[in-house]
Amino acid sequence: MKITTLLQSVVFTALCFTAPLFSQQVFVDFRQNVGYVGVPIPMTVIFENVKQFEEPTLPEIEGFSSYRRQGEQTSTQTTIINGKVASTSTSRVTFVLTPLREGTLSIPALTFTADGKTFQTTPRKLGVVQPPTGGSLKAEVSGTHGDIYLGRPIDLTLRIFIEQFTDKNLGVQLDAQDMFGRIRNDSDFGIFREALQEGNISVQHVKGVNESGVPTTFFIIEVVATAWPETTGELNLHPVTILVDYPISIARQRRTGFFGGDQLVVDQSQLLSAQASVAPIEVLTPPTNNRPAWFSGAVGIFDLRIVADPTRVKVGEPITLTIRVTDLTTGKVNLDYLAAPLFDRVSALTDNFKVPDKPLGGTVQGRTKTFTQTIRPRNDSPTEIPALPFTSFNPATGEYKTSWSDPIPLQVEAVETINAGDLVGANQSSMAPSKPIEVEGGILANYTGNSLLHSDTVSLTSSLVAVVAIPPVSCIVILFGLLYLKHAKTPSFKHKNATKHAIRTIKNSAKLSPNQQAVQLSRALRTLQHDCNNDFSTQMDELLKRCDASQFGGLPDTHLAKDAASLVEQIR
Amino acid sequence: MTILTTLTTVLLSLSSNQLHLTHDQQTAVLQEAQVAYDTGVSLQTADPVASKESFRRSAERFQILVNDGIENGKLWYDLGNAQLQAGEIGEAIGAYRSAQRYIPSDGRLTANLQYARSKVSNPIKSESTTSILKRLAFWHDALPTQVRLALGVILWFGCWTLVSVRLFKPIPGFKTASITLGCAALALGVSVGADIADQHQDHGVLTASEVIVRKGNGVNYAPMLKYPIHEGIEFDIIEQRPEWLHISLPNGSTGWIQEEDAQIVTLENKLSRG
Repeated sequence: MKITTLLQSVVFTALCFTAPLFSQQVFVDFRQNVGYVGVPIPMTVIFENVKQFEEPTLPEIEGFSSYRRQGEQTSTQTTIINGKVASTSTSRVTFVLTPLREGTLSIPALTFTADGKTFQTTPRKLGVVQPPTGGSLKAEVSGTHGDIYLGRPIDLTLRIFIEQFTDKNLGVQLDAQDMFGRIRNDSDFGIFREALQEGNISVQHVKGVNESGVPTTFFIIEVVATAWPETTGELNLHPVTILVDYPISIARQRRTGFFGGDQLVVDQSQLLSAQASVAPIEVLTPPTNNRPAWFSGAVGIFDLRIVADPTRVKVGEPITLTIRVTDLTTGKVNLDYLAAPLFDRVSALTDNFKVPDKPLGGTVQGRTKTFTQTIRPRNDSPTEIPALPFTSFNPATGEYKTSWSDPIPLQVEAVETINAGDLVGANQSSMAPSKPIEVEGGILANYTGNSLLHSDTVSLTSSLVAVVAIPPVSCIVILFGLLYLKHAKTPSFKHKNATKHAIRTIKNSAKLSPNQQAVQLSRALRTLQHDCNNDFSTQMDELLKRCDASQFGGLPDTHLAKDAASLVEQIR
Repeated sequence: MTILTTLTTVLLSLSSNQLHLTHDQQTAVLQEAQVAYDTGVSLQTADPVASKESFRRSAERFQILVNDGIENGKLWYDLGNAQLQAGEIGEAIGAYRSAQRYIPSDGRLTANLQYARSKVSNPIKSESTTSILKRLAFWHDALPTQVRLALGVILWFGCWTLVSVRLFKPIPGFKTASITLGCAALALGVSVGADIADQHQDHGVLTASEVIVRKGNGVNYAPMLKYPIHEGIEFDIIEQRPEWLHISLPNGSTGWIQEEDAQIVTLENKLSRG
């Protein structure tokens, strides 16, 4: 390598490293000459080729509010032109200035320090006017109607109306998403910002006419937010300012990338603003009429439950009351401002207990706020902690409503002497465990199991009637049976029975053999002979003789059965 | 079976008055009711609103079982618990009173009914004194109908068995024993009969927060009482007319209320009354 070549390389390298030193500067990028009231304008402080700079700050500028955007941007650029290498490092810090009034506002010379040097910018003037408004953009805020009390929510609804943009040249209309995408992030959404971030919005399409009387479509975005007044009196909510870069024209733009093609972009736009103010809301104080002394400002409907522990103490020893106040209303609730009931103003309690008058803090869980308060019995007379009140004002009825806790049984033992320590909590000696005392009220547990599915109904069914009827009927049947048996043993019954049998035998005797017939007829006729009167006795005797002749003499008598039957008929 | 499926099945089943739930469906609905109740209990502190909603859901499911024709004291008791927890004091008292018919001496029922009644604003106390007959017949309220029926049938059989045996041979003390058994059986029979007859009588509980008792069955009639009466107050129904009930309050006062302000506790025909 020649010496000349080596020298050229050294010079080139030196140039590379020393080039930045020659262009070190600090300046402000603030291009606008005209601004709008309430519309933020970015102002960027640029540090070029600076190794180290002091944290830039802005002084108070009359007519502006300002803040610094988080973070800073740094970049490095190296260029080679005609063999000359230039390297530029840049750091950018951005401030946001918001004009607060109309007129010509001045931005004074600003001073920044970098690498131990001081840099000063030139002063600037900015003409500020009210932002343009138009029928294409409107905003309104509506709020809760009726009286508002401390602790109750104020529901506010923001409605932003944007007219749908139509490019007549291209015959293109922007949809709702495109139109709402034109809303600038630096809009001042006030109380609605959180609701917007949570996506608590709804969008509607409405047909109407614009200011020129031309039929068009308005997109309405509706955002609901809730404000919680912290004090009574007039509540002024920050107005909402909506800024929109409203399209003027749309153009086709060549899309970069593999697939290419055209895409529509907003070519020109104009700034539109709309402001919606919330009318001052008067946060009321509940009326003084009928207000109990222990009222602590609660508004709504509440339930009160109190648990005491321990329930067996000596005079002067602390009893901790756990006070749970539950909001029974539906809808939103914020119990942060709910104050504890003022039990130190309840004479039924303070007569026998020392009750601190310091305000209590509470813990909120869901719709319940829990307070704890320590009370001490003054003497051994109380047998219970009396029912304690919690009064709230019901805006719906305009009346105070008091919930009462249940009295809590208590055992207070006397002490020999009561000193100051008993009343200020010096005595923390542990006690024997309290006897279990059943607390009245509350709901006992459910029954479970499949027995719940079995019916226990009792109704007057036929089977029930039958079951009831069986014993007396059975008894009557037995009774009749016994009577029958008794009657069957009497001579008259036996005789009657024998007569019946004899008649039946005579009637059936024709079917018997001659010898059998004579025997049976003889027996039957002799049975009937006793009941036979004189008119038929001769015939009876004659028939008996014929029976004997047939039975013992061997003389067959073919008419015997018939004649006997005939006689029986005559006798009957 | 998911809750949605069960509920759909149940609703479809109940859409026809002729159909009843199958045993499996009843079991599923009962399980849902109990789960919803337990959920309500667990949420009472953390989220009272969700808790009440859960109790309300539980009550609806217990009610489905009752409407399906299942009648027992424990089911009515559970229904009353769910309704009371949901803040429906009137309905809860009605359910507890229905439960009393089956498990009158149940300790839990007595305690919860007493608690529910203690929640009634400005209760109306009965001015009637306990009659001697009622004191003598204390067992009528103390024993469930089924027990009284079973006992009565046993004594009835015993009495007639004694009479039957006496037909065959003399029994020492027969007269005393048979008369005692007979009277006891008869008393129990009358007691059960009274219960059965009571199912046809109408009772009710106020379910609206404030009810104006009027002098007639129309809003243009003047109020009968100086102040409105409150939810949970029990009454007997003297007469029913379209949309109006003629009621008798525990203190003997009578008047007319709108039917929509009350729940009729009668067991019979409850399905048709909804």
